[in-house]
Amino acid sequence: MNISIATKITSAAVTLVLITAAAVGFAVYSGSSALLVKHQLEDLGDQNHIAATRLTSHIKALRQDLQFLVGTPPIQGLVRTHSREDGIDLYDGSTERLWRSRLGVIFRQFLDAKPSYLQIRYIGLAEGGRELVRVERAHDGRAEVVPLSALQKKGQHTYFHETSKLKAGQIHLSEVTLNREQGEISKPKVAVMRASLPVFSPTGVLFGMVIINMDFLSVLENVTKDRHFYISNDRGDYLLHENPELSFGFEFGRQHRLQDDYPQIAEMFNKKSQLNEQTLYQTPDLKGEAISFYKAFFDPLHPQRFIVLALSASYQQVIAESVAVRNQSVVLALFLISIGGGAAWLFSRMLTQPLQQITQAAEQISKGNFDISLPTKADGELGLLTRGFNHMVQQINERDEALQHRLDELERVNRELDQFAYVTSHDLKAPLRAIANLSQWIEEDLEAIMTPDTHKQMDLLRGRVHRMEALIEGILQYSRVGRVAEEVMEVDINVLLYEIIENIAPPEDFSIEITPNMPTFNATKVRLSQVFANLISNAVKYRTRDDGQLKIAVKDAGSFYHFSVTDDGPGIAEEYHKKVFKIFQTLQARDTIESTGVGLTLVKKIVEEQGGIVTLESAEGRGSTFSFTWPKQPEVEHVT
Amino acid sequence: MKENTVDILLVEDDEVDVMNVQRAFKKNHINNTLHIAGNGLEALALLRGDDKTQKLIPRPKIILLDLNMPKMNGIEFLQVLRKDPELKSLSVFVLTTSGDERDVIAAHQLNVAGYILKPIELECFIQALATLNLYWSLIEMP
Repeated sequence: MNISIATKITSAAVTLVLITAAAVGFAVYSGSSALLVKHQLEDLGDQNHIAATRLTSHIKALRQDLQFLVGTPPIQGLVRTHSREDGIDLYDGSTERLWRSRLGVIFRQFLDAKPSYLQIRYIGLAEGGRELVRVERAHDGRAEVVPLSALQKKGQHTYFHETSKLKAGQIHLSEVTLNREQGEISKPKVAVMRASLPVFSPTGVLFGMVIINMDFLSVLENVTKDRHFYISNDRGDYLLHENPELSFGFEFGRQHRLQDDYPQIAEMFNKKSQLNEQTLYQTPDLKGEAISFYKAFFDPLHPQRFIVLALSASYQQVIAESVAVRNQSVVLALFLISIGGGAAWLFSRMLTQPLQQITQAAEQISKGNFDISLPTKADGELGLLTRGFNHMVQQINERDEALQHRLDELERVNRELDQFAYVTSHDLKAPLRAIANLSQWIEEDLEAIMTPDTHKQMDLLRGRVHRMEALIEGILQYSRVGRVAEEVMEVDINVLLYEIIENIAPPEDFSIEITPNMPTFNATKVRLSQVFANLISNAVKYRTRDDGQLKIAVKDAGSFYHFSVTDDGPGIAEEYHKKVFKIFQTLQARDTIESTGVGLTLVKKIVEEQGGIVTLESAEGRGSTFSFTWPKQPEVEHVT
Repeated sequence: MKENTVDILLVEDDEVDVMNVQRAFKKNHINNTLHIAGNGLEALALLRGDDKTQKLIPRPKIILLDLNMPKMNGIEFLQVLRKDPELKSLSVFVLTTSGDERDVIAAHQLNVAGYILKPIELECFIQALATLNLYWSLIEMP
């Protein structure tokens, strides 16, 4: 069976939902995905910006802390004690030692309060930059004051020189370098920025400086979560890189620079560049990452100084949300498809159930089962269709009954006709025979007084009797065709023709030619024999001379055989071609040639009964060809 | 040829046909006694005897039977005959104008000795009866 309507509707609906869902989903996805990616990139930039702000505000706090510390009393106290031989502060009588001790306490407290500070020092200009007070973080992280004996001279350091040049209130922010202890890089490596503020005596003479060493990266510890985070100084040297080997390369004589890894942003390192912020995404050499660059300016004294923060997210992280949206879209689409498909299936089932019932009913009817009733309660067209169909079935049933009734009637009439024919054969023939017999007896009994005339009259009388009997026999034969079933058997036409010809017994000189290709096939032998017998006997009976010629031929005509009987007799004029097939029609007076006028009518009836046709080709004086077709396979006969 | 003395019963309603048979008997010099019955009932009466009819003695051993007759036709007569233990052994020759196959089959199923179609020519009929005479003169009757 073909695909059912329900399946077709369901698949159409599913396809429709699929297309709609796919179109909507794609539109939503492509629309939102660009937005979401943009949002992710902005978010990345914002995070970077926040990190930079934290860093710069931390530096700002460092500067403020430094100013605060320089403003504490021991700073000037030590200035005052230092200028005196006895080391006593005239201002309040404190000794240098006391001021140192006080400053040590302040520095220590301060260091304890600020975990990102590593070291706070007060360095005097005198004695080659000797440290006056130094507080540093011990290994356990607590701040401790370095004893006097361990204080160092720092006069040779860059920051010392740089700070020495400053005016009051100006703060020097050092390069970010690795922390060193006794000239050696301390381990673990710590990135340090030093902030230093010069200290002047009341008379305006440079006395020294306060320096805070800050762990530069401590404030950024939480930024790097789930992200790659890079920091470079304004030359591009990595200060922070996920690979420790690459950070502070310049401390080891190597160069690892941000702009070497991201040539796209090299412009940012141009001092004159206004390009302070940049986000890269989906450039070919980024290897699936999005990265935000931010230039953070931090030194009011040298506004051109900056550091660069670079925050990177993987491509997956950037598109994660749009992937989620896409997945949601797909899930939603699948959900819609299943809902739509299910609904379509249910709906089409509802819609096509009556159709299916009708289809099945139609199939049943086509198999001849009319005992079918369909539910008619459906609304709309289907109900109408069902009711119409039911009506049709009912009508067919009624007509069938009527037809059956007619058939019964016909059968009855046929039986009556049968009876009539039987009665005719007996009852009409019997008196005839009586007449014939009586006439003969009279002739015999009156032999003595019979004249040639009366003899002839007696002969005529009996001749008419015979003619009448032949007519009756003709009617009987005619009525038997189609009324009486004849047996179907294998017929060898060649043999059949010889039998017929033998029966007819044509004159010796009369030649009959039978083509050698006569078939053997299944047919109603009696009927076929009647046809041939009538045609052949006609040809013999109406011959114009005793050495007449007759030809019987056969051709293949598809599912039929096409037989022809051709004679060289008198022929039949065109105008009689139809008439000769009518019952009791003869072309010559019956007194000339004894004929019932039944033969050709019988032929026509038999052949047409078999589904064949009879044709006549003839012209007066040119012989006749009677042709007929006969089915190769006998029809199933419907004979009562 | 031995002298044939069996009686013959002709069951025939048509007077001309009766004359026909009688004439044919005469022409063929058939001397057997010929009894006539107009239909099946009359024939049964003659064979069995009843209050109106004297039973034929000796009983005819050969019956020439027409089929189409009033009151009781030939086939009906045969059916009764074959059920009667005294009469069922009688030889019956159907002599009829009906060539209907159903009649031929029905008659043969009722064990007729022969089924003869009445020829229309008188000469033929005479010949047919001559043959018949020859036939039953050769047959041993019970």
